[in-house]
Amino acid sequence: MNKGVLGVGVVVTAPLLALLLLNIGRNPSAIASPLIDKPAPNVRLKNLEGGGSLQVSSLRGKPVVVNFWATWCIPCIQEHAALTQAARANPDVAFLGVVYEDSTENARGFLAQRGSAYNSYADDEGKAAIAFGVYGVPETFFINRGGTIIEKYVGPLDDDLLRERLAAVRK
Amino acid sequence: MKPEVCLTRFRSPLIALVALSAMAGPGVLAQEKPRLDPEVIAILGEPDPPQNALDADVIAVLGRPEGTVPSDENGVNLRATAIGSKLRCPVCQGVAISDSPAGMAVKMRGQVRDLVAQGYSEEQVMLYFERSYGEFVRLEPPMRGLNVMLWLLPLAALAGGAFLVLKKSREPLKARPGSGTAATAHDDDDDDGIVVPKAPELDTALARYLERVRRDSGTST
Amino acid sequence: MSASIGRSLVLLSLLFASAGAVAAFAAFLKKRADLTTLAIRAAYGFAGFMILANLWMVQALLRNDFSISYVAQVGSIDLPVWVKVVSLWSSLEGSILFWGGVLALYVAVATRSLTEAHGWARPAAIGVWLACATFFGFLIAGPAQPFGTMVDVPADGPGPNPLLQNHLLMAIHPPFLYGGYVGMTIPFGLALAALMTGRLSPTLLGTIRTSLLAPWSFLTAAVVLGGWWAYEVLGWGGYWAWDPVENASLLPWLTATAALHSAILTERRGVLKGWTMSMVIASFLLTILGTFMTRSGIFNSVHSFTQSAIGPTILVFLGFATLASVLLLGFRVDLLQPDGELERGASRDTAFLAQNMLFVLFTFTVLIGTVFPLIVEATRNVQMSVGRPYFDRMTVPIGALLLFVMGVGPALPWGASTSAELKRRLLPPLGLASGFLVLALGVGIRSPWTLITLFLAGYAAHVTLFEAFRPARTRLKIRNDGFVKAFSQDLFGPGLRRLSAYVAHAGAVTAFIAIAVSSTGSKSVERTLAEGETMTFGRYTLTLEGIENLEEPHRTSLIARIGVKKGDTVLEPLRPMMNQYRSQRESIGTPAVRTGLIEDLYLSTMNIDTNSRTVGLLVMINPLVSWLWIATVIMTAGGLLALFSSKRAGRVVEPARDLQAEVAR
Repeated sequence: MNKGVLGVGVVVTAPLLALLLLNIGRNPSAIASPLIDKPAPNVRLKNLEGGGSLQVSSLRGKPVVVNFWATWCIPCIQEHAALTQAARANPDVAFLGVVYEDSTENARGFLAQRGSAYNSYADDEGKAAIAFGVYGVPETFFINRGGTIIEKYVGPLDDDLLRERLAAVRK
Repeated sequence: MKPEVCLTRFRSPLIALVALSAMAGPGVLAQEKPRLDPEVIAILGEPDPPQNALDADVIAVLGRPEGTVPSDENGVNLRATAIGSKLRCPVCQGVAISDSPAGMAVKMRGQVRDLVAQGYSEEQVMLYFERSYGEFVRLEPPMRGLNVMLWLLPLAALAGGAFLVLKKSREPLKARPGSGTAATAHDDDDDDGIVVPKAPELDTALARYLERVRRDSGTST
Repeated sequence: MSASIGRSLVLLSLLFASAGAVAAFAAFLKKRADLTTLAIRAAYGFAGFMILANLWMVQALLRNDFSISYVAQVGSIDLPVWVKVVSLWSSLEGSILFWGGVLALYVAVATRSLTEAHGWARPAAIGVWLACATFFGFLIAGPAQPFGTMVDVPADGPGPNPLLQNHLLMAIHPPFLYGGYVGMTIPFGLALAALMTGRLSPTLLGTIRTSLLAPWSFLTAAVVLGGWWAYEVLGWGGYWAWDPVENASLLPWLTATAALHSAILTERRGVLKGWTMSMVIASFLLTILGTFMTRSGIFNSVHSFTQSAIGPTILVFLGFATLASVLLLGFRVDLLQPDGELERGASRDTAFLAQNMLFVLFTFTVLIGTVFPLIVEATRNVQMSVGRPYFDRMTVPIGALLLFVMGVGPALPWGASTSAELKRRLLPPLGLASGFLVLALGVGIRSPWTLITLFLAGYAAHVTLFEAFRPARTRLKIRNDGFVKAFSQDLFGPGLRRLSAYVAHAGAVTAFIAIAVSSTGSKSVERTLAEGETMTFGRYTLTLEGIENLEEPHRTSLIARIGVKKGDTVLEPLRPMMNQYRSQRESIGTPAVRTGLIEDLYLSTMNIDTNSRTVGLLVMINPLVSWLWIATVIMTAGGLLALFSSKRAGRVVEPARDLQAEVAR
């Protein structure tokens, strides 16, 4: 029995196998957002219609929901109704839509057709998407009155999910 | 005018300006240009042109640029490309933003260029993206904490391996009884490619036996 | 009906594999030759049925037999024939079936090549091979069953992943990769057999060497073909991104190369037996690790298959194979006693040792970098990346050291020598080395590592060419034959084996040069062109002549026709395109490459706007890239020549009697 060989063999292979075993089930694309419990990025968002813009920091004092969406994104279209309704039912919360990787015309067309209860903004240079660390759509950020992001939700929202989060964001 | 003189003469308007900016904070940048005392404008000139919206967030995260503003567009491009090769495209699989044709990658490259053009240093640019996307976005992990192992382990392996090789190649030659049965015919360096099969095809156990016989009978060459 | 035929074929192959494995191990343990014969027959049985299963699947794909689940998953009526054949390995289940098929071919050939001369190593090796075959057969029959019966037979299927239909290389790269990966099973079985029998006879060693050469050659080609594919298809202008799956294909190649070299020392000196066996075993285990990395879904990669139940199953097999290997090595390696000694000091032996050490270091570094994100996540719960900048920084110096050893090593003598002799051998190549360096500086290369690499490459080139032609030149001097006659003695005589090594080295040196120059000498620019607009870059003048539309059954393409002029010469227009596949939302670009010996002109479309008639174009000039492909052909040729030479020379002159038993009596 060669203890040295056995030792080296175990030391080299056992940790590697254990590591792989522990990682079974890991989803490499599920990246946690580093912005949780951090101040929301203070970006300037351009209005979809006409000129003018909105600075995110100007909304401080109210809870804010920032929803990134696109017309080519099916789940975004699905969650549009729930978001519109939640915006109407919760006037104390500021809802914002930000168009991601899509043209202003497409967005305007969609909103004209489907209606909306809150403003959507253009982000042609992608600065808002980058600042918020957006990977895809839909992604929704929940910001409290103090301007801190308390949650990033990836995927389409529905009424129940929204209700829970709006309660949390008001605290 | 010498700077010291400038400061003492215009101390009060300078203090006023600093106090104004400090109090106004982000709100200032949110609305139109700050209303400045005409006297201040007359002395110090118009304030800088309104910066674009990026800066509100950038300044909040990074503060002032710590690098130098590149001298021309070529300089901007060179630096931006270098930084771009170290930033991971978050929507692609493992490529740098400088290598990806994806829409978000193009936009991130534009962002990097903006920051570089304003004079932000490489580390600042990386920090800006790390704020939004986390450590994940750095293709070369920063040397902090556990990441040190990424460098230490290979270096340790190199040192260990080199030591082993040197040790094996420096061990004193044991008394070679006739160089054993292996490779007597091969120790010459004129390896002209003809591998003389050991005649006969000796098995290792037999070889050792033969070796012992040779040693015992004193017929080693 | 059709699916059940497929399932039966798979089950039969699994049956033969498992029965054969049992018979083989029993034959070894009980020393019964009749069981050996049984095991051999079972091996052929496994091989036959597994190959039939593969052929059955191919015919089902060609005939659009959607009653079979795999065909329903990746087949499609509107596919070109070559895509249909190729979809055998395009998706997970089919790829495991393909693995089984390649393994079947290897096992059949390898079993055939074993003789009584191998003694009890024969059933031992067959046992290991069939044990592996049993595992893969189990995978195919169970979790990765491609022959599922479709209850509702669909009228058509979605076809394979569009990225896999883009290029003919899809037809070539996977078979080569599998030829490399799967082939490592054979030397693995032989290495375990050496440990089990406690003997590494020259016959067995020769067989291990031969069985390592075929997968090595395939893998060499496969690794670079993968890079070529990425280069031609993905559009970012590079060929290697240190993606986890790319690394997975590289790791076993590194240890297999180490094994091939240390086997030379084992053959010549009778030393490093255990080490060579370890390298062979590591090569196999790394292929299983590689296949786990690709199919488990836990690594962030372009190439990953989706996560499935297969991942954990492969991990279990890997664990079991690793445990068996470590135990066998730990308890049996001392039986493989050396027959001689290494030459000390500045000798070729030391160079071989250094080379092996560097290859293991290379393997270790790439492996650490690849799994490090998992370690960090497990401990700090933070996702991080280890990407190209890190790998390049670590592997470039190791590569340079390897190139140094490849130059100095073959120049060193086998035996001890005086310092005068060493000077005579080691100083002359400095001439060509300096020449390369001067040439590089003259052409404008300034990157320090590239210059170092080119200097070392010049050294190695001199040594390689010198050594390759030395026997011929010696014969010329002695016998005054013509050069052709003198050289052909090498090609058609026993000198082929030696020559093939230098051919492989020549390929490697060329590869180093190509990689060093192409990775630092690339130039690129992004520009948006309107129809009719012209731009210049380097010596090229590019004009967007028009935007064309191409409708194919499985995709619509927008093609930017770019007119190309080099200096004053008008060249063939290039057609980079954006493809919209029916089954995908986003369009996928295909670059257009004008391959040249000095440089490639590489065009990639960022976007094509038919409304404004503009094209966003990425233009790159990549120097010496085609030499990397040429180098790979040379290296692979070297491997195949070596394989051919050992097959020709290798048969044992007479069957070895059981001398150990005789001696013991």
